[in-house]
Amino acid sequence: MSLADMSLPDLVGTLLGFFLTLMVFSYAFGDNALFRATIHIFIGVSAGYAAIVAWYNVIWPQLFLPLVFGSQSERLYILFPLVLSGLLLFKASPRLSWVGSPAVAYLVGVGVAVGIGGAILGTIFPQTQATINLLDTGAGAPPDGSLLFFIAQGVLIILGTVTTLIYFHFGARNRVSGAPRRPEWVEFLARVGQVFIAITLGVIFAGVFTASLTAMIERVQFIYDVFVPLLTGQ
Amino acid sequence: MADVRCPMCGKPNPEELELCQFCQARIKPLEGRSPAEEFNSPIGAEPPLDTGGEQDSIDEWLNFLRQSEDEGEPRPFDEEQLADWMKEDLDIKMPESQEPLEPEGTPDWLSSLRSIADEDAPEPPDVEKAQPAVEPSPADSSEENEVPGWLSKLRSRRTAEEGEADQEFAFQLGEEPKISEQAGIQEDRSAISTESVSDWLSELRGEEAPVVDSSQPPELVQEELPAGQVEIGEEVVQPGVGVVSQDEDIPVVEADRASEIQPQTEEIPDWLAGIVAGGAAVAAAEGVEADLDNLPEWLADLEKSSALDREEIVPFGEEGEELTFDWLQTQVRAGQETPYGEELTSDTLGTEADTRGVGPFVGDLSDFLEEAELSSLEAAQPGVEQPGGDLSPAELPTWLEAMRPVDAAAGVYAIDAQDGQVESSGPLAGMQGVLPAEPEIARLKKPAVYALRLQVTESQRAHASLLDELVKSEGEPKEIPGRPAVTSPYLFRLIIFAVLISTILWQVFTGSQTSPLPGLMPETFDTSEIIDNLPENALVLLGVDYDPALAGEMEAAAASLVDHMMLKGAYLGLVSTSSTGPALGEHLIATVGSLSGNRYQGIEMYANLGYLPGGASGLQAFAQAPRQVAPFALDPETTAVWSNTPLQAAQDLAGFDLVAVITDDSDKARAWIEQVQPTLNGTPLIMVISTQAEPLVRPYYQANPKQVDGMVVGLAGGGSYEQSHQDLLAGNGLARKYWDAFSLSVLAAVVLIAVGGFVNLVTNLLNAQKQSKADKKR
Repeated sequence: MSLADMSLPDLVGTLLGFFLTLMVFSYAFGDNALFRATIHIFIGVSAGYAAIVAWYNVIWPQLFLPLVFGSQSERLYILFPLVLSGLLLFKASPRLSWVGSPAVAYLVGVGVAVGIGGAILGTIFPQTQATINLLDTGAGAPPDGSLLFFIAQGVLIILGTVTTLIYFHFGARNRVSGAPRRPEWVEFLARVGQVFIAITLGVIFAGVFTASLTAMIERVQFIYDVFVPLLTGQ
Repeated sequence: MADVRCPMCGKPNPEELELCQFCQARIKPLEGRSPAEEFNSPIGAEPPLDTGGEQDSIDEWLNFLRQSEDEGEPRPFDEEQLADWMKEDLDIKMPESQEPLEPEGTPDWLSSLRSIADEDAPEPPDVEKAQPAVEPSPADSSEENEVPGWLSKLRSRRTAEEGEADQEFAFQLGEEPKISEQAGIQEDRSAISTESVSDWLSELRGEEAPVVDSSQPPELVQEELPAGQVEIGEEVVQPGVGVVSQDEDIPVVEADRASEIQPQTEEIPDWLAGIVAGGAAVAAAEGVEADLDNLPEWLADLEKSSALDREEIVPFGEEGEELTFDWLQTQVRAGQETPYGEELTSDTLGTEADTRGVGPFVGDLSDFLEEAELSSLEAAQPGVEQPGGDLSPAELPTWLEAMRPVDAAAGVYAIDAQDGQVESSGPLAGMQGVLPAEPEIARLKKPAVYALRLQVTESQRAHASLLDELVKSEGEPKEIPGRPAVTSPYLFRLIIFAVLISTILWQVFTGSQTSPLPGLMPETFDTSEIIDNLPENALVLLGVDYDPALAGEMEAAAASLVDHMMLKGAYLGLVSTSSTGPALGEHLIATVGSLSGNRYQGIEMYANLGYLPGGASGLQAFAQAPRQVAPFALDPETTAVWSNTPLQAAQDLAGFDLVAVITDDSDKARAWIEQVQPTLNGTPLIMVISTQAEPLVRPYYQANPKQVDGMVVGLAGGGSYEQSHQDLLAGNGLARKYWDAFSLSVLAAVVLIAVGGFVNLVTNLLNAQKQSKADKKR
């Protein structure tokens, strides 16, 4: 879409995006006021937008509408979150912040319970089972892949998983001379696991780098798409 | 006409007036007779009517007195108005500088009184009679007969007081106590005597005189005297002094007696010569006479005691040869000329040691130390023969000598035994040589002076100064060295930015799309298969959980997939656990629409369910009850999507045909997998993830059974998806658009990292080689 085809709000937004992108790129020459101003604008816009979304998307439709127009059961259902939300407002006062502690305690308790439950049921059990099944040729062998490759991949994954877990095993026995040290075979596997960890970190770094590079390319392309029409008048 | 001054106001009045014309005070007394006349006259007899002769003579000397008063001599009252007896008393009180009045018209009674006094004055005082001084001589009775008792009482009282005052004054001046004067005064008092006293009083005195004895307490005498005379006895009797009833205020008598003193002084002993010489003038002026040749023993003892008392006032040796007592002279000379204790005898040594032994250690000394102390004191007297002198003195060891605190303590706390302090209070009052407690205990000493300057060495002083400088330097502001404008990290950062931006700009400006897109990947293939298998008007829950920072990557990866869903006619329900997610979802739909030309607009095509608060908990709640957690669409109408849109067919998430999550965060991806995937009940879950989240999400995809059914990873995954569906996005896919720049910039980054690593390696090797060469040279 060319600039000429854009509506005025889209055009203003595009131009604002253009200049703000240039201001962010100025950080390549060091920290400066343009970069800081852009950051502050972004934080302010994000907070304002979050407040609007919270009001229009959460508070108004899910709290006040049922309280005003809802049935008796809906009102009773809303009463509990309403009280907890009211208690949370006391957190703004240092003297009365203790009043909001029950609501915070409720949030923490629910959050921890949900997180632990999800980790156990969604990660630990399934991933343990999946790792065990890596060498289950009958269950997971690709129909068109070579079995050797499948087994090799499975062994490598298991080796990487086991050695990485052993690396994080820090149990050691006291020695007569010197500091406590893990057994030699544990130490060897831990070093193998350290290699896998290093590879994983490299992969993660590469992923972060490529993600950032892609975002940068998108921004440069955006500048080009805006700047060239401005220069050419198209 | 002579004026009479008023005794009250002092103003002159005519002579004939009896009352003052100014203050109405009586000028003339009511009584026509003097108290003496009245006293001498027999009781009941009429007073003489004519006293003109005597009155004239009195007026003459009274006028003389008035003239002297007018010349400046203050007089407290006008004696003209006084009675005769008062005038007589007034004359006695006249100052010594004035010549004694010898008026021609002296009354007879006064002349007789003088004659009697002259006859009786040379009589030496008897020891037994003079000491008590209470016993009036027989000659005194002639004058005392003429003096009324109350006047004698008044005179004797005043005389005693003035005598005490003069005696104190004399002691303060260091003069000899005027004992002779006292004796003479006593005689004068006797001379004034009692001729005019009534017979009964003379008889009474004559009877009582022998009774009064010096050894007898005066109280006994007082009890036997009449009331009026008892007081006289009290005034006269002075224990220890003898005669105190001296009346110095009798000029007539004193003038007569003074002439008799001069020849008698030739016979005064040596010890009294100085005293008499010093006090002769006073004695002559006062008319006091004393027979010094015949001093009684008691007076000599009294003189000795008075000399001892005067030691407190008169310093030893100042009077030199005038010291009275030989024994006292010897002792004083010994104290002045010889060191302490040299001439002390063994008898006095004990006393001396006692007086000195007030130090705090003397009482605590052991016996042998005390003996050593005494022997040392005795040894210091070469001329004194000591008992047991044939014994050789003990030689104390040096260590014992060093331990002896006697000398030092005695030197500090020794009391001057010759100060002769007399206890003035308490039960020991009057005793001499009492060990004083208070002055020794409460002796004020000058506090010890300690130097405030620290005793530190030079090294300590140097360290202290160094520490002081460090502390001071901490408080001083330090100038921050300015950072150089160009540093190596800054240059390196500029180089990296220049390399990357140049490659990107090159590809962007050239618009080159020569680099081939990645081939079909397994996860992309699985994703494509799932979307291809979607039914018509499928319900797709699209989770938009990425941040605006990576919107470029996520849109490039997900645009083809979303366009694929749109082509399949899926109804999209957008939801996000990020507050910016709803806006990014709208932007993604708009971008895909603008690229593909498909107009996905309005609630009929998709529903933006908005923001799910609570993170994983919100996802859990949404997975359990999506209708209650997100009941309305985020549009101006706040549409109830679960009743007015195709979403009404889905009661829960399992009612959706596909759940697709677009996220750049592995934690959010894991939350979707852990909280939502178990509730899908066979509904496929695919993810479009960033390359930075791939390492952590891929295990869920490669797990057996799969927790994630398909993935599109980053720009490469989006390019792969576009490669597999080249009709999507009208062939203008974002992945394709960015791929050449991405490929070239990644290559540049690889080269840059490799070159940088190599340069770093070579630099370190060179430095190590130089270091080794330098070590070898050393």
